Amino acid sequence: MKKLFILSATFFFCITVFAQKEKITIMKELKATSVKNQAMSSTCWSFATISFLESELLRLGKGEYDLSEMFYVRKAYPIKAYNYYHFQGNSNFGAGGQAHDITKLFREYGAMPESAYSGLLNNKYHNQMEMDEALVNIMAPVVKKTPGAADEKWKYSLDSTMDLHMGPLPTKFSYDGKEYTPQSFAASLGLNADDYVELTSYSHHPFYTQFVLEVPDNWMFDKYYNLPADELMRVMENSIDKGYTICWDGDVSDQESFADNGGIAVIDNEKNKVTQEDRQKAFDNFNVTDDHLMHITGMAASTDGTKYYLTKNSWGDKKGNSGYWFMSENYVRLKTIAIMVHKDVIPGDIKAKLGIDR
Amino acid sequence: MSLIRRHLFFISFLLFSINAIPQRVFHHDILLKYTPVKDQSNSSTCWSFATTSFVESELLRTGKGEFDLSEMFFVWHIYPQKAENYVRWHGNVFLTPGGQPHDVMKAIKDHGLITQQAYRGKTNYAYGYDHSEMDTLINKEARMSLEQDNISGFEMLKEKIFQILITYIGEPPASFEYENKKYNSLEFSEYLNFHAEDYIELTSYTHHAFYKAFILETRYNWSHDLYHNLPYKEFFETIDQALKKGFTVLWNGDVSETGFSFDYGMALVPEKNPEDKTALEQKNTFLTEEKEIIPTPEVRQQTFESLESKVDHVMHIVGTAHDQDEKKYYIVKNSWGINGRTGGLIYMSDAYLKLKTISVMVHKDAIPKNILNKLQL
Repeated sequence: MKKLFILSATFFFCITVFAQKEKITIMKELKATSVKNQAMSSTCWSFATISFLESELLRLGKGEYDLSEMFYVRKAYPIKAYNYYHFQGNSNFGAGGQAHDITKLFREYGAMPESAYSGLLNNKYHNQMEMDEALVNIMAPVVKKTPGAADEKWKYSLDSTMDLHMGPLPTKFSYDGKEYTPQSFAASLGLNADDYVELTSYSHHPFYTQFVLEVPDNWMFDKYYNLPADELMRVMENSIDKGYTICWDGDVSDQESFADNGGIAVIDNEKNKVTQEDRQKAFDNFNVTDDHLMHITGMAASTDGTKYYLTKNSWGDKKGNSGYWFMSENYVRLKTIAIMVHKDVIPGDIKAKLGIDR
Repeated sequence: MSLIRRHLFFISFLLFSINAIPQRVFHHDILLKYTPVKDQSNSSTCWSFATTSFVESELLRTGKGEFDLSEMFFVWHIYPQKAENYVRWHGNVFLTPGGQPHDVMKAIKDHGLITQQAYRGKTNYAYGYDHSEMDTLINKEARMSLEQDNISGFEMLKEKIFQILITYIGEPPASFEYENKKYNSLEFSEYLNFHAEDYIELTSYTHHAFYKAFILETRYNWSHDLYHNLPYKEFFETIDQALKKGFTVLWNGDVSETGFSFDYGMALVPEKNPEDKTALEQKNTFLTEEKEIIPTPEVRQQTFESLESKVDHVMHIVGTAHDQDEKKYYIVKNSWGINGRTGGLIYMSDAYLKLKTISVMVHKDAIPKNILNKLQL
């Protein structure tokens, strides 16, 4: 979730790549916008989910959009701070987030095009390390204050700090010669935030129920539908099959080389199918944590029959394979914390078990 | 038995008031059935005591009879969950001996109920319940588990917590006898015909949409549960209607107030700060008619935002009363024993209720139909 990308190695573009001497070929590739770069910011959650929504707009025939990721960073931070303050320091206050942050904030505050708010000021790349630290420093003494004695200066301090680092947020902007507010712009996109649900697969809660996923970046305390691993994988396959992309939340931390692995992510033992128990163990001992969000846009396969998920990252187009990674099916089975999908891609029988109508 | 004792207290209180100088005299308008006042002593378990008291009143209301249920049974089941939750969240959640009413309802759903006779939990001679050492140990155990980062599994952590609980409060029996019949805890809740899912939590704040549920931002809501949000007027109307209809109300709010006196058994929100009062005014706060802050939805929200009103206690509203100046009070059963001039009851002013109540729990049927419809329950 908080993966940072430091511009370094350059990779050559190639449509087919070689993993363990096997050739990987893309079987299906859904429409996606150009690869972005979160650079020195812990905002993968916004980049991945925005990329996912941009693909949804393409799927729906609304055209190609470049939406502002930083608009949601601006909207999320004050709510995180509010929670942190009211939980008296007993919640997570940081730069990270989850896919539902975007859909919820979209519903509440609307959307902006990148042209209206890039958050870059005059910089070429995002660098929010200093800002993130400053915001934490603003809140640290506030949550320690004697309750009742607290004033609300922190709200202004947060805003002005973000203004300083990212530029002020416009209330109105024009797009294609028309004037919009964030709300009217969101309405013009025709996306329904309620269409998107999050799914996970862990056995410490009953399957086919919803639970508040216990990961620190779920600072909104949102509920995720819980499915057995096989059914979670079925949802993902069905999604790509039906032409819908997937927003992916998972772990890329254990392989030091993930950033430099040639864009291929496999687990140590690819031969053994990852079981529900393997998933649970890795989650329980924190080997698998939610440290990154990406955007699955297609399927690939190697000549030995291994399936790969074609995954758009937000580390620029110089990393991986022009910014894309191939995550093996087993990697996805083990390392997926959660996914966000359109409700319509959930097979009918699974939908019924989850109690999702429509 | 409890009824007699209660009346004796009330009578002696009245008698006492005759020869005292100015004094608040309370006349009960509604007094619903409740069981004897308990004492949580040196334990942060108000959530369990108040909710258990509420459940006991519900059993009286539904004609099941008078029961003395075990508070420690819920502590036993909830504590390991709290520790696990704390570690799963990597420490980004409050690890506390405290809790919320829904903790008890969830424990009842999963594990049922047990009588106090079957499981009292360990007490010590000096304090009664004394959990300070236990709380420290559990906190330490969970923190250690988190620091190891690569923990040896939640089963191990839970096992350690259970060992601490066994030492300090003892283990509940697998089965017990009630009126010569053997029950386990789940069978017993079935026998009592108690439906934990019928109870919901209500609140009233303007920072979220009305008639929707939101995750109440208090650290004691460690499980991130939902509270249904009502407009100010409807929220307090619901409390009044519930009491009128014979349903008691579970109260969750703030008692760390200078206007809260266990000794006098009163809760007020005086307009004047203690430091601005003369010695006599200060002395008379709970004796003469005290001018209070006028509650409004705005003041209510303001005190929430500034954390002047925050969760630190759970109690049980069992009726309404008025004093000689026709001022309205809510009769609130506390769990700090029967010492104090009112035998452990708190007469809470209307203004206090409106400003210091964070949320309540009620039976669904206690909520007026039109409000229930708006909540889509």
